[in-house]
Amino acid sequence: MLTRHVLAGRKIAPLTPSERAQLEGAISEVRQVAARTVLVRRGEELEHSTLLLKGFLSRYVDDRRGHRQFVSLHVPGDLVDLHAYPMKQLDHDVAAVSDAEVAIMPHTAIKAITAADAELARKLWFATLLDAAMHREWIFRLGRLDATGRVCHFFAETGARLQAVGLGGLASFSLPMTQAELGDACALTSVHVSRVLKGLRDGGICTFRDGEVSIHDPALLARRGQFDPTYLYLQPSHAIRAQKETPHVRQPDPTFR
Amino acid sequence: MSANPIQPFDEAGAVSVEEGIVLVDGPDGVAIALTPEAARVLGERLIAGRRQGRGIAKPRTSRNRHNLD
Repeated sequence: MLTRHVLAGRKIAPLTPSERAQLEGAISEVRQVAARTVLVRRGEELEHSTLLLKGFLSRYVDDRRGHRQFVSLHVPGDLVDLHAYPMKQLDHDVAAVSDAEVAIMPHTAIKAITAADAELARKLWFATLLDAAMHREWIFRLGRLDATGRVCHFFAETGARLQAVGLGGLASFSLPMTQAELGDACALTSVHVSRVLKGLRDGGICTFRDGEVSIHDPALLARRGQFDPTYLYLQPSHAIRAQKETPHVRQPDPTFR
Repeated sequence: MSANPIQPFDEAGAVSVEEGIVLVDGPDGVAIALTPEAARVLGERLIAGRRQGRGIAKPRTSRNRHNLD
């Protein structure tokens, strides 16, 4: 079942068998993609969107000096560029972080299924709004957290997302990224990432080795990264597991009512 | 406007060295890596800025940073 991870573990009614059948019917082909293959270039005209089935993809923007900033990381079940359906082009590139398998959904098919089924259209809209929620959180991460906090937050988020789709737990999960790519996600140099990882390992918080994250102290990881999973809109059972380790670390502004 | 608009920090970030690169962490979202030469120049500029800032900026404490006094 190609769509088994779509919206899995999220705080929205799961896809019904009919909706799932429509979504699968909208897939025109399945492609295998090697790691570091660019799937979409910024500004390219698009007539299809992509559903990630296996592996990891990134969305990124390069600066004038070629420094790369990941603006999102995608896990299986993500509709990576559903926003290309109304927008017809992207303002960022999409590439495979690991070997991946993707499903291609022509925009004509997306138009047909969303026109025919308003509830399915609402669920697809929810998926793009999840992206927006994560973008807001990534702004917070880079604007307010130091190097260690950024890496902790990124690991906590990725673990929670993988757990929601049944591909990992809060204790350990596969993350086939290099330290340089971790730096691209957290706006840090490789050297800085190396230093942070050493500190996390020595501090007994987590270990990142050979593309595997092992979290030894989830509570401390969450606290250090100020991670609050509310923005992931997880099903209560997943949210409780992620939240259990997460004290409420953010303080509301008392002057806002 | 927030009751706690961002105030100048009264605590400096931490500095460490890894593989000959100078790393500055904090406060807040600061996380940069500098070559030793860039770190030297930045350090001099910070000291020059400190000279200019003294006598203009009011004394800062942890209390007034958080609008508690």
